[in-house]
Amino acid sequence: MSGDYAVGPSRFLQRSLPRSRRGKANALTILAAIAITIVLSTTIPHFLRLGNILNILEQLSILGFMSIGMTFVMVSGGIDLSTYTIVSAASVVGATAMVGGYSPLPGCALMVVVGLAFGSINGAAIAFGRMIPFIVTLSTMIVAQGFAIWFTQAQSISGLPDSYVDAVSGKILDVIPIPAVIIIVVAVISGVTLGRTQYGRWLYLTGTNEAAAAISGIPVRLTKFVAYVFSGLMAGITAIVLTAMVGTATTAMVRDERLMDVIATTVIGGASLKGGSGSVLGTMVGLLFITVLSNSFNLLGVSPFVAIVIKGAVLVLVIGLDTIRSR
Amino acid sequence: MNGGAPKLRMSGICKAFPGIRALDDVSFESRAGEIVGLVGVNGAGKSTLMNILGGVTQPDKGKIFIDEDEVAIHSPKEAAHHGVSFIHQEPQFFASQTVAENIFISHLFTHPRFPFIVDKKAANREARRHLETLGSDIEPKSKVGSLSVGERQIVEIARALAVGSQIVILDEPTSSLSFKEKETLFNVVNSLKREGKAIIYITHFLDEVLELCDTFVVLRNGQLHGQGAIREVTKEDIVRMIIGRNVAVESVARREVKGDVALKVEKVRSPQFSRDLSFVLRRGEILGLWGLMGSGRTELVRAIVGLDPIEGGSLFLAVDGSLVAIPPHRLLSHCGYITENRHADGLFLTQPVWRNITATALGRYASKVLRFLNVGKELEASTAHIESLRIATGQGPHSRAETLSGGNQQKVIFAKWLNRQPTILLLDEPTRGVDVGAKMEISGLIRTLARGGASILLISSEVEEMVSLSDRVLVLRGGEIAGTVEGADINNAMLMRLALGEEGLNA
Amino acid sequence: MLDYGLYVLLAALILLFGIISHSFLTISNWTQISIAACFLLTASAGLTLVMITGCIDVSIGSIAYLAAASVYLTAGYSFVVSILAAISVGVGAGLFSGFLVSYLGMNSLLTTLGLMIAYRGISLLLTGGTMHPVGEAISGLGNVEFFGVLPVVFLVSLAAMVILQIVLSQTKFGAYCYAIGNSEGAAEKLGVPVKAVKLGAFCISGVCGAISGLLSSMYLGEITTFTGRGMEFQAVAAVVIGGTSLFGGKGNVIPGTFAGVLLLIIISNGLGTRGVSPYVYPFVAGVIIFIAIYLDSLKNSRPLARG
Repeated sequence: MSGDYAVGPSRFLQRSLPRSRRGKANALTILAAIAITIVLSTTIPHFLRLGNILNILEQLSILGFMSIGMTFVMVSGGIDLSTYTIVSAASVVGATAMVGGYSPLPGCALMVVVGLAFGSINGAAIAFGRMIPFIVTLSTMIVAQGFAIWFTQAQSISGLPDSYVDAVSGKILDVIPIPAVIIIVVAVISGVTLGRTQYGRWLYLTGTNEAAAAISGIPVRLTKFVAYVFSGLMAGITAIVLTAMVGTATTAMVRDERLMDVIATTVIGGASLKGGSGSVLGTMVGLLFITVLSNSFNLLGVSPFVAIVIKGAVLVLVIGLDTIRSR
Repeated sequence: MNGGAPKLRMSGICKAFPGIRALDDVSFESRAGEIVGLVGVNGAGKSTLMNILGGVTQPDKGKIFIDEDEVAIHSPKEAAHHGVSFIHQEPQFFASQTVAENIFISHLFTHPRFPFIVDKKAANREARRHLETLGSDIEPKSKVGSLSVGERQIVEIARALAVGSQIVILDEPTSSLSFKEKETLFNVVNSLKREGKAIIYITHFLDEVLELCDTFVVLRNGQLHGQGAIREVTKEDIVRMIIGRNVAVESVARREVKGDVALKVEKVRSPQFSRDLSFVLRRGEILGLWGLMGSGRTELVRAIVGLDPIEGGSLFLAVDGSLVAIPPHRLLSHCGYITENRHADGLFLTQPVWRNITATALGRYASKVLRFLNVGKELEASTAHIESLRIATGQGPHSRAETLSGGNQQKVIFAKWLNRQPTILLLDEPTRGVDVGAKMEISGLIRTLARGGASILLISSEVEEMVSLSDRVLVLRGGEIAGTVEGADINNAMLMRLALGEEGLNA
Repeated sequence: MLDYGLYVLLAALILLFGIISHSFLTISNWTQISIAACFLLTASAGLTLVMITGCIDVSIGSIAYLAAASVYLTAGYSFVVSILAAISVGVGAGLFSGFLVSYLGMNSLLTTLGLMIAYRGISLLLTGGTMHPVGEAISGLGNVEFFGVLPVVFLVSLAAMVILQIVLSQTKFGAYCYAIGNSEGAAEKLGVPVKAVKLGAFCISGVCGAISGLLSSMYLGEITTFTGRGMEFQAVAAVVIGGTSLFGGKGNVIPGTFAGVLLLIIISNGLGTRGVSPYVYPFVAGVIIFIAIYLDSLKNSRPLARG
């Protein structure tokens, strides 16, 4: 009967408990992530040490930026395979400027601009050109990579100004890594945007049913375009932080395997290839899961090659789960 | 016509979907070498009946006999196995492959010595033979993608012939054909008949039934309302069976609608229309847009809201008392538009009801600068709509739209547009797939809205609904306006006559 | 329009490079071109089949690497063993991908993307991440030249292309592939064994990828971490440029994919003989792919179905 639902705490509980298969699957993955974290922290000796946690947070940031960008794109019903090479393109351009005498601020701005530029290309092709996301971003990935190689003639760029490196990858009060702060700020802002603003709602509705969204008066093409530009922006921010952390700008700033990680984190976090679901919070949880996994490989002395195999297998598994829960 | 047992006999078929009884004790026969016309308006049950025969769905009750042997058909493959070929309205073909390949895809000819190599010569030869039997000269080596719609249809029929089907179902085959192609199709169907196939011809074009078929069956509201031999009836007889006797439709007191013009559509041209169309819509008026399927009603609405391109003409919207020119896509933001197929583009099925309802007016709930959404206000508004429209939800506004019944889903869509408080409402089949109770509620809602000053454009395939709701009716036929019926002149017979094309209004 | 455009472009490029660069139209250069093309040709041929059915396989580069790794591991034995090992790798990988995509209904891009990573990791494990010579038996085979000019690797890849083109155009299997790519629903309804055919297509692309890796190890006499790296994307580019639609149902190995591969190799080679920095090529390749898929979507995208 309509209007006849419980009030107060029991309503809260009713609302928070997932009713759909998808909701239950999401809850399960979150629980699993928490469980694994607990297991690992009790079995691996140095796991919960402050140094290690901050280490994790710092590592998290790189993957985090890219995953947040991917989250927006996946909610809109698409995918972005190009983020990780755009990072290289942005990095080399900005680094070249900084090494060439420009101060860090314009250098970082350049990185953001490169990211936005590639993101706009993706967005224009997909939103206005109605092209297929995976293949568009696949070719952008190749173009960005090629651009980075061509721009630097395959040389890596070092000698970045200390002012830049310290400002971005240093530590506040000698304890808190700045990248960790940046990721938290970015996560909060994007999470709020996605979950609570009009644009965020546009994204969800567009991803759920594009035709219905268009008829409801939602600017579907603009919504999708912005999602890809945002993903490009995240690539730019990743470049800023990563270049400072690593100290050099190379043509392969982010290894191929990280793309798997990005996809895995968003899908674990509840996003689906179909669109219309996912959240920044969920992605963060997925991120935690993947980072903990990687981190534990390090601590357990697992060969990096085995780690790669497991990462690939995890992705396949995650896609399989998503396929099942979408039925 | 022929003596002996019918090739196909469906007996006592019942099928219900949630809230609707699609078929109620329908019995139906088809004989070899005969064409039986299956007639009725949209939603009468024709498709459901044939879907059962075609194995797409299963009956709740009833039996199917082929050659007097009882059969159970659980899938399209099984239907094919029993010799049934279902040629759908949307042709099933492989565009980049040849006619011969399309015809024989289910059992390709192979080389005698190498069973995995395709024997293209044999396929071409046999394809040509089948096509000639049908009287067609389509070249077997041409790619189906390059053929016209009519030719593709013939290829499908040739396929049915090639696999040896005995029972061929044709579903609204002429809706997208030109006049010449129709003639060709008729010749082809007659050839099929000469080959001794039992042919079931589904259509709503009575002229075709009279010209082509030997017998006919009329369905209305899921029940059998007439059958017999064509030569024993007149067109009027069939029409009467389709729309029912002029049961005293409640003579609704027609309001004298003298309101100002709210929307003026002038000489709008589009590929689907044979002429340009013009009409006006007044405040407080319910303007019905009537016509049979394929007459261009949905296309007209889609064109004026800018979802499909128009080639000319202009739209005028009443703003503050005077008519202002407006481009089509801007009209959408001033109207409520309830589409034909709510699942395709009306609802966000996996989202909760409240998000569905507020989707059209999100700006109202967003803060000025940062555009934060006030979820509390959204929920308040949705709850209000849920209550006023009596939408039955499992768990209030948080239920996901997909969990609601058809009628309630439709109400959600209404709520969505009402939430925007539009002055113009475009309704395309607003009560399709909705149970009787919800139908009445929605009809009442439409009347209330009109009384409140909204201008409503109503498309419906149900003649009763059209008659009882409309103040004025525009009848479309073949892509142009065949006539306008006002006030007291609106009744079943008049509408059907205009839609079917009797000459003259005053004949 | 586009159908012939590719060949016109190809001819024009050959002409262009012939004019502006002295060393382009020489036998030694063309021998180099044909050898460079071999590996990509083989893998792209198999990929073409998969793409015609409407799916995609981006794991072929890693399968090549894995196959090469298996050749390295069997270095002590006769070359027959090595060849069998490589082919089994291809079949195994193909069956696995095919099973996941066809029977479990998983998204072919992401699934093969994950497998690409996993297979690469396995290969890295097996080879310790460094390069290795592959042993006399197999590299000796790689040195065989027919008529003193045509290296065996070239002939094998040519044979692969021809065989696959025959399969596509003359066999039931090929007809099924096109049908599925055109309209999977209709194919299913008409009794085409969709799942089995897709599985077969993935097996074929797996085997082709493996053979490509085999050939590479044969010819180079060694396996490096660059074996097969990035080949999958080059292959996708070549296949699409060659006229196979991403939407499925259209395309062929000869002349389409053949021309596509040739185009990419010629551009890379031509730029090289001109002394252009080798780093221009990846960028140019990316732009070409972008244009190719744009044209593909213009020509072949299916209009969204309306209610």
